[in-house]
Amino acid sequence: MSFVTGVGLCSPFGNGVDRALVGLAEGRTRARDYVLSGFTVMAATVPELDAASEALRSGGRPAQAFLCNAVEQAIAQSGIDPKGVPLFVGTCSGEMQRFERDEGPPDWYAQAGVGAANAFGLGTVTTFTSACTSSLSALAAAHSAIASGRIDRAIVAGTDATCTFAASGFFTLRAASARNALPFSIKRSGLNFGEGAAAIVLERTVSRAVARIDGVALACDAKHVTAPCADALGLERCVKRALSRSGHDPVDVYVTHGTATVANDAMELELGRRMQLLGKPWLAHKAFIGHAMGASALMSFVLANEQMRREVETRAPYSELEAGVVLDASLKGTRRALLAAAAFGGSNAALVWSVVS
Amino acid sequence: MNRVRVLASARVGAIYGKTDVVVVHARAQRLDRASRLALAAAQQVAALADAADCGVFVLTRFGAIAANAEHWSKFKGGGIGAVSPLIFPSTVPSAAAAEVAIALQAMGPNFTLCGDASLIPELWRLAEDALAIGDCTHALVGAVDGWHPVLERFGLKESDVDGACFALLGPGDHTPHFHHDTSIVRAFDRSL
Repeated sequence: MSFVTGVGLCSPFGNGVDRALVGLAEGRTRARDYVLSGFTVMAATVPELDAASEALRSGGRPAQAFLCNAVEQAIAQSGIDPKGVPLFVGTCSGEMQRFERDEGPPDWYAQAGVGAANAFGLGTVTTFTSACTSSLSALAAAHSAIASGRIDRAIVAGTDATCTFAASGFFTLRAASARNALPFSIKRSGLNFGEGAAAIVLERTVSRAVARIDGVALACDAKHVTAPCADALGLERCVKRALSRSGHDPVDVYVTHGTATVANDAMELELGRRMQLLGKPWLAHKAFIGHAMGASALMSFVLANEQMRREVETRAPYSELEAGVVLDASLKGTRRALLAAAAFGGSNAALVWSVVS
Repeated sequence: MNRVRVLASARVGAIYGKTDVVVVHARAQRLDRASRLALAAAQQVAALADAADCGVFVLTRFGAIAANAEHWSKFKGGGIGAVSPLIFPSTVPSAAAAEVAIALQAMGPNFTLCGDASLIPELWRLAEDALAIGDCTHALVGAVDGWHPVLERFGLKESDVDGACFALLGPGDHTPHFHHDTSIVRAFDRSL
């Protein structure tokens, strides 16, 4: 068992969890037309940050800039001395903008974490890349290291930035929508890009905790490089494993991967049917902040935990949902949530946690 | 670290003087160099020992650099219309681990770490943890980097980069040792 004692978020709503919660409560999506060289996608991008962050961003290090902002908030909330604390960070694209510019050093994926660790005097940096489950892979590893007694605390983070490289790929795969992303709507037509970072301080101690990690699990479909499995068997296996580690108690809320692609949402609907998740409140943050790839799962965790702690009313910016999906709901009295994520390569991840008020 | 046993291991790539890579795979021609190397080594290991109910744990420094270079050069040369949907999925740095899992039907945890040889102890710990908590009965662990000439710009050489070394682990009492090396593949190999 491990506890979250600090959280940080840098999202398309700006810096901090509070700003994002206001945006979610107002039902506002941040996705806009994002014009790239010869094509246009919909993307929710992080607005202007402080001068130091903007210097990093213009220097082709946006993932590091977002990460530093999120880590700083998490450290401040937890009150820990960050010196020597290990960093477990998940990212899908790392600093691909530097690859696009032919700039080295050629450790494009690991640079963001190393840069943030240097900025805060953190300890060892382990960078996980499993596409859109990356930040949950990082969380699983840190949770396991704490549970086994190897470390007392860690900073876990996820970061990713929009880049032409990834956008061109998803555009070509016809996974990107030209309209707002509508997860679990009968009119869903694909994903919107997103970016940002989330960070949490994970500790063995319960003091100052805002969440308790009850169970994490990872598994692989081993079926297809890009397509999620329509039968949801791999994701279901992963979810069951996470639930078994958490004592099998029922969850109150399902925090979806919810990319709004036809294939992903069909898989999660099937999971919902088989795991009796339909009818419970579902959270679909990518409708508001787009899909921040490797950072998205941890960003959703941070948002969902605070939404539950504050017992907010959730509101989706659209209607015409698939049968049984509840996106407009009161989170009053909810304590325990399941979060699932899926990724290229058939990677699945599931997290069960409880809020601590 | 003392709870793993090396059941089998295999090595391929320029680091070992083996630049020709034999891969038995329906999409072999489509795979990025790093994925081909990883798959070739993993298939050799799987042939030596039972790899069922297996997790896959991979360290890479440059990910799918060859696929990245191909995708990006097509985009720069011909715009969005020149980009291939067949190449893009292979550009994620976890592509090699994914291809190994698909080929071997390895449905356990699938981790890819990105960085230098200093991550090898963490790679071993991840595998050890997964075996200890029952996430998998075996762990296929390896390091891989595929060569592409774009790396020459950064002073790197094919004979220091290109290769894959994979080992199949089960529960046991082996203690791997960490060795520094500029090549993650050589460093991993020496840790076996």
